[in-house]
Amino acid sequence: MPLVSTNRLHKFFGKNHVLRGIKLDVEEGEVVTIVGRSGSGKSTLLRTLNGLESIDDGIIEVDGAKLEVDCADAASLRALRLKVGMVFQQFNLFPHLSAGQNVMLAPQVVKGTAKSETEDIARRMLERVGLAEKFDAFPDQLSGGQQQRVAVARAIVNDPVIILGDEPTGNLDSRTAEEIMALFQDLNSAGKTVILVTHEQDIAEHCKRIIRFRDGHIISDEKVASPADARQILAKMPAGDEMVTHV
Amino acid sequence: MAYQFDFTFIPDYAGMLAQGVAYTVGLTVVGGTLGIGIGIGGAISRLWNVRPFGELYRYYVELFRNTPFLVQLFLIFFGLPSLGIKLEAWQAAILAMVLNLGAYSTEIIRAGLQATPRGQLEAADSLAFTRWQIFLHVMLRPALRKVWPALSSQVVITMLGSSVCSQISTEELTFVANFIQSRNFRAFETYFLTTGMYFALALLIRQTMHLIGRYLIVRRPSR
Ligand SMILES: Nc1ncnc2c1ncn2[C@@H]1O[C@H](COP(=O)(O)OP(=O)(O)OP(=O)(O)O)[C@@H](O)[C@H]1O
Ligand SMILES: [Mg+2]
Repeated sequence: MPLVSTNRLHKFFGKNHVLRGIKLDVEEGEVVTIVGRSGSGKSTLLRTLNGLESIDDGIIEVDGAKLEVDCADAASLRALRLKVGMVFQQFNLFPHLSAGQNVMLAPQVVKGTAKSETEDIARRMLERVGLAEKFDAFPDQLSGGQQQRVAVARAIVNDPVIILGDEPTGNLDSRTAEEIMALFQDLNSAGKTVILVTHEQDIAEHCKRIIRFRDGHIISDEKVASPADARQILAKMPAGDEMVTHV
Repeated sequence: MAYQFDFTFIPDYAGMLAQGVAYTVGLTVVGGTLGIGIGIGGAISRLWNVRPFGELYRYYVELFRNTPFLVQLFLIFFGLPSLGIKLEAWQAAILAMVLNLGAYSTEIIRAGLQATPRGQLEAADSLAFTRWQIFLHVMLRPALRKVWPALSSQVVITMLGSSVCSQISTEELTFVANFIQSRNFRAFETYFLTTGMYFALALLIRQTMHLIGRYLIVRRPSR
């Protein structure tokens, strides 16, 4: 059984037929990237996978959580979203909360975990993305790369089986992008399945599988024989402090 | 012949004036708190069109923003008894102030909520927050922070507007001033003094709102 599976997925924006019958299976432990031209529907596909975009036909199933056209009620949306963590190009941290609070909020609010406990969890998550010392810093006091790492910590705090990233490195310089890719690869080694959308070929080469998209169709789907290892690339890169993460 | 200023009446009426100030402050604190509360409820009901409140709030806001405060006050104090609702002057005053400020703050706070960046809403959605959780934890505090200066000004306007409540014999500052003036016939001195007192009150309220904003809304450690 694939971890993620979509079938006959269709999406319209008005008359614009953006997803044209997508069938996609992703197995547990994969790192998949979706590439393709601007406007081809990559983001839309990714966003349907956790219900940020409604669908007009078809079915989505993630680890047993199902979403169908006619039964996208609050309960099934919630079930789906608990399985899926999402990271955005613009980070989208909550600006009025510290890094730690950004991470604590979801377990506190969504799962009703006690505050003292969520604080421990948040500390562990921030440590995992190499930002333990930034617990009390606010988003506007963090660099882009640091904000994205907090966003990753926030996305994994409720222990989703899969992490989605919509151009998660799109706003970062190449070294910082590499660090974020190292983080995704670490999370993958720790058992998370990852699906990323990217424009950049060298980012795509970090993934185990590359799906090409055009006009709402999948036009190719290939395994990558030996994905690039972000840590090795980082080791060869000049300058910058060595990142410490513990997965 | 030059006019002879005479402020010697002040000590005689100091107690009354203090009571008037206290009354005005009381009206403002209660009216301000409840009014902003109504505004928060109204803002979210309007924004999400929560039925039936969204629609009700729409008419209420239009009604109260497009009619004079004095007439609203009279309607409540002199009009409602015809429907069997008899309120004391102070109750009518507070109700009118709450409803008036509620209408304005509904629109002010709604603007702040509307300014929530879409990315933050999507982040919260993707974490499986419910609508109310998003409102409470993601939208409310930044929205209040954004509109707090406008809201503070509206509270000051409401405080100044409370002088109108003297018309239904609410014993606030203006009522006291009118009373003193009718005794000493020192119109200029009495209202000059009252003007100064309102001015000081306005500054005080602005400062208090500023501190509340700092403490309640920004609340961030100093690093
Ligand atoms: N909310 C929306 N309302 C209307 N049309 C939309 C919306 N979101 C996307 N579209 C349209 O859907 C199509 C696919 O958009 P999408 O964002 O999925 O493309 P993309 O492949 O992610 O492009 P990019 O690489 O530029 O991010 C585009 O034609 C876009 O204009
Ligand atoms: Mg996109």
